[in-house]
Amino acid sequence: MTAALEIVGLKKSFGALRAVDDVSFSVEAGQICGFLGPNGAGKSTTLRSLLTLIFPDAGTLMVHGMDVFKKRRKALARVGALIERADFYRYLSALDTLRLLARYQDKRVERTRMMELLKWVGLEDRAHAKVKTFSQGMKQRLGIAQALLHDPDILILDEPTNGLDPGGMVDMRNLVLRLGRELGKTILLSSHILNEVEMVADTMVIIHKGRVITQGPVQDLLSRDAATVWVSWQEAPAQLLEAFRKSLIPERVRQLSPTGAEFDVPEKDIPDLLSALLGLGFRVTEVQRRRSLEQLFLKITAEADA
Amino acid sequence: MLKILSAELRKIFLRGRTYIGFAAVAVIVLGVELAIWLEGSKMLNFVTNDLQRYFFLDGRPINGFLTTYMVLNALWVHVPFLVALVTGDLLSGEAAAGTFRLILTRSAGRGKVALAKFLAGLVYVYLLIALMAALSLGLGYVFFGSGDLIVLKKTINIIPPDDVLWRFAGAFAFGALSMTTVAALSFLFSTMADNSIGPILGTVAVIIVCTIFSSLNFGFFKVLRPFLFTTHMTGWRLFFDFEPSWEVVLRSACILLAHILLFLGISLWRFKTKDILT
Repeated sequence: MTAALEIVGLKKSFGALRAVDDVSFSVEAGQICGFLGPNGAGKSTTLRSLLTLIFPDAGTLMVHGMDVFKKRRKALARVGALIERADFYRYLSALDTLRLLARYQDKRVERTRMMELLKWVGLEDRAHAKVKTFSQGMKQRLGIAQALLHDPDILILDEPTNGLDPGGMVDMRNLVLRLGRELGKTILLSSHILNEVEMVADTMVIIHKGRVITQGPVQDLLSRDAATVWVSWQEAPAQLLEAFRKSLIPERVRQLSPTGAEFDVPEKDIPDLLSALLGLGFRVTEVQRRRSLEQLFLKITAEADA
Repeated sequence: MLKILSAELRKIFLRGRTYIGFAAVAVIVLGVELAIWLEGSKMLNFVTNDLQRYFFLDGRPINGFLTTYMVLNALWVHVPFLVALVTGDLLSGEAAAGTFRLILTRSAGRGKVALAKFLAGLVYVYLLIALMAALSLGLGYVFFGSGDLIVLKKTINIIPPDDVLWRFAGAFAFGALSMTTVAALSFLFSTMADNSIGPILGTVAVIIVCTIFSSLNFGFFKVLRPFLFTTHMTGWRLFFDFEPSWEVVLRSACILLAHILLFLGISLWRFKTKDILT
């Protein structure tokens, strides 16, 4: 089966700066793929190349098996994009913006579809309001609407939560989930906010200093390495804590208090950890996995730097 | 292509900056009319002083045709600036606003988008020239009436009213060609910048420098002169010769056309190979 998106050997330099160096990965149809990396890692260069905004020095970029540069028109007809902050023509209304953008594509879009899209992103009441009166969150939602205008089956979202307040970030996350789960879109979601990707992505690609340093299903990657687990228990007596310190478990403890501890353990070892704690006599009340993707990310990037 | 052109026209005519050009043309025309109404007689006496020693000037020497002829002189610097104000912003304005990310990630090709933008810019330019022609001829006729057109060139040409309208039509058409050259130049600069100030100022600067070079009729400049577009931008004046030399008019038009094609060709190549980073 052909991948929805496929990048092979992508290279791009800006003067002496090698922005992207031999990047290769693919996204299967219907998946939400998180594209992670710190600022300046090469995420935007990769996505812009995929959308033909940037001309790569080398490499092949395919949409459903079509080279985006050789069959640009057909390939881009299947892709919708929101690249970084949504910037619009300030003097146009939301509906006029969609009308105007529809003229730059082959597929004819009816007004009813535009109104449906505005409703879908929660902007139907502001359809006739000028974009200059919109908050950044509303602009980002309009950005999603314009990306869906020609009903593409692939969406490329580059830092869609940039500039959003926490409420706006939650809204955007829910929108992305609905796009993937309800509408079955293939989504390549770039972000440097790890938590955001962890919550929505099926697979992920981590890029660092222009190179892909790891990729695969999110759950596989998370269980491959140590996860941070917070275990809460009813206040433990001093002798129990002393027994705990003498056990083998403390080697994995990041912090300890009378009411709980934070552990670094591979995800597959969590049941053993809980058994050990219960065996020692701790009355466990809650188990929480914390910042696991962040840890994984930091570990992998540190390894790459080394 | 027509869909993109209509979108580009919509963008141009929904922006306030576009109407600065139209307002400025109206002010230029009204200013010239007012100046002639206040000082026209003195000015004409000064210019035709020698002539009036030997001849008696009959009729209405200050008339709508004279004012229109004077308005045409705005095609040297003023109108080019107004042209660059819009055409210099066609691509760089999108880059500055970050809206290329919206339109160039769709199926329409870059070449088509750039060409549609240029054509939309030309619609603005031609409307500007048409407004200039309509206002200057219309107001000139209303305020000063009709009469012989007296044009001072190497000779004093006195052109009767029944022989003047086709000359104005030709002069404004040639002016439109000159302004198309300016539009193509500022469009070229627009492909190189991510803000609109650079292309606008760059265009005006090139016109000023080339106009100075065009006026230097010696040595290297004498060789260069015939190839500079600014030398031929004033070709509209040829229409007010008694017997316009069509060969010279055609040569000037061809040189302007060559500049337009050159500027536009480089613009399209540049835009089609440009990385969009904003």
